[in-house]
Amino acid sequence: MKAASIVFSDRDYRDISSYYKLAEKVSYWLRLCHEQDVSIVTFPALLGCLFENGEEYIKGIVEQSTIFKGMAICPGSCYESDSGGIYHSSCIILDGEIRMKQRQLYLARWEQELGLSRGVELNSMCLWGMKLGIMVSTDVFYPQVSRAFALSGVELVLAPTAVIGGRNMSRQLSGLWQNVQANLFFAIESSFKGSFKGCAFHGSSIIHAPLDMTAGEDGFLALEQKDMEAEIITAELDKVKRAEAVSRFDTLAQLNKEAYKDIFSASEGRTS
Amino acid sequence: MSRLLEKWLSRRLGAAEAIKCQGGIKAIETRPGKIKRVFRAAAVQRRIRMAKTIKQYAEAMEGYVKSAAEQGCDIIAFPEYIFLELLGVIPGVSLLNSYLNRKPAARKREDGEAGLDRLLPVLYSISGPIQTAVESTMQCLAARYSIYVYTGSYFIKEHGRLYNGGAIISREGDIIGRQMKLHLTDFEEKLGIKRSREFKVFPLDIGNFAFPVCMDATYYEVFNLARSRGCDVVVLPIANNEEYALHRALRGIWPRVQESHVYGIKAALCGWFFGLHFTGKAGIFAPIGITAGENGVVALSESSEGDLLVVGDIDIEALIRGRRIDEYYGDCNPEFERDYYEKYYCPRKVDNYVIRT
Repeated sequence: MKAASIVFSDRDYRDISSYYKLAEKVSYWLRLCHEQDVSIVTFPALLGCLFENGEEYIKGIVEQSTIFKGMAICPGSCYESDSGGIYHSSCIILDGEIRMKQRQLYLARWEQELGLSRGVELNSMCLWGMKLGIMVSTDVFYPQVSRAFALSGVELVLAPTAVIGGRNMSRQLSGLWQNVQANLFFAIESSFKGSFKGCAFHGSSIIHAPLDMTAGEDGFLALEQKDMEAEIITAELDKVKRAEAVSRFDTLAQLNKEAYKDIFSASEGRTS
Repeated sequence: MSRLLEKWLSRRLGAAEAIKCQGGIKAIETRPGKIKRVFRAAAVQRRIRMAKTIKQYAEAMEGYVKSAAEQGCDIIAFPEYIFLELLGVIPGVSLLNSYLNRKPAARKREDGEAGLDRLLPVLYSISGPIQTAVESTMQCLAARYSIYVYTGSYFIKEHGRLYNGGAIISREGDIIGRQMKLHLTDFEEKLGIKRSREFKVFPLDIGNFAFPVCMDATYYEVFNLARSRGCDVVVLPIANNEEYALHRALRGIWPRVQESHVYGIKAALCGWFFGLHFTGKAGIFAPIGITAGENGVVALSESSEGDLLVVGDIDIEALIRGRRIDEYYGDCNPEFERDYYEKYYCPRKVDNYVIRT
């Protein structure tokens, strides 16, 4: 399965000044993916929050997906209102239909200050013989989300992210990269660059895999390069190679479940 | 034969012998019982050398403790399998070790494991004397230099089972407690080592500490439990039997420190033993937001080989302040976390279907 991650550059943030321009650029990215026989693509977080309301943004991509049949699209994320709460959400769109939705489960401080609500469910679905899930932005920094996916048999995680702060690869490695290494699934991360609600964001787009199966033994199947002007990065997700990597370093086989019985019994975190 | 070896080794490595080597327990300084929020810590990076006598071993260990004390450290941590050098007191082991280490470095790991596997019955029978020797030596050093000593790990026999664990020793030379490894390597499983189910946090006068061992840092659950029990500093002894690579090393304590917002002290074993190559960098780590380079590193060895003492400052107040402002730490989702253990670690199975409640 060929996967792609959209590279959203600083220039894109500067140039995309209206919903119309965003729609035009999304269409361009999708065409690019289609030309390269991509089966599944992830867009960065927050794209659906920049101009129109989130529903309009998603509707636009659902329409576009009827043109690019057979390509699964994770359109990034948007805010979704439901029963008095506002959720940071994403979804998977295929052939003109939303096939699965996922709400963000954990909130960064800036999201909490915005008054966002937390989702509750963790969803997954099977597509082309692979079980996949979506991890929305901040959830990549909460390892219990990755572990829950892995223990549910998820093999591929789509992750639209927006990492707060300036360029800092250490910060990004401490998110999805390390969770991929601990749980050994594939992940397609597309990261937002720019400003939103007074906060600056910077992250690289990465296609992750267990490091035993990557050429540089670094866990990167594809990594956005600082000085290249690539619009997308792509990689083949090879299930056989992944299975071999898991057999060499099978982290989940050594879980000591009996020792974890108290997990989350004394959480001290913020919830308001 | 095993019994005889055990008895012989007990005499060679006995506590009395270790104490004699150290000139008896004599603290050079006693500190007030006030809780320190800022202190200095040391992590040992040790290249394996076969010891001919317990005296030689104790002197080597003392070099690190003395240096740490002279640099004003309150705690020093030794690596996993710190006892391996002591096997050199057994006649013929040094020779066998040299022979096996001369084999090509690039040979397959399985060969090396086969070599160590032959040592299993020996390891089992000598674990008692070795434990006594390591702990006695470290107790003497802790008291002499008035410093907390985490022993590093060795095999511990308990209730007829063999564990991989270590002890934390007070400034007065008393054993405060022991922590056994919770997650084993495949190789340790093959050896018949057992994993512990118990995980403890130890309140010291420099903060609340936990002492998982090596592979335990691959699992976020360990650090989650540590943090939920009030832990501020996690000490991790490692002995990685593979060639050093940055991204492999990044799978251990560093990400755990970031996600659980604690300090991490990593002590590493290096060098060759029975044809196995151990590599690793000792280091002290902290959450990205409170490190000067915004990289989560307080201090780190420059090489993954050789003897070294890595020293770094730990500021518990800064850690607590950092927890209050970090964007990606400390959120809680009670609804998602409720029954998390039952939902994900023990899903109920009916026929071929997994039911998530």
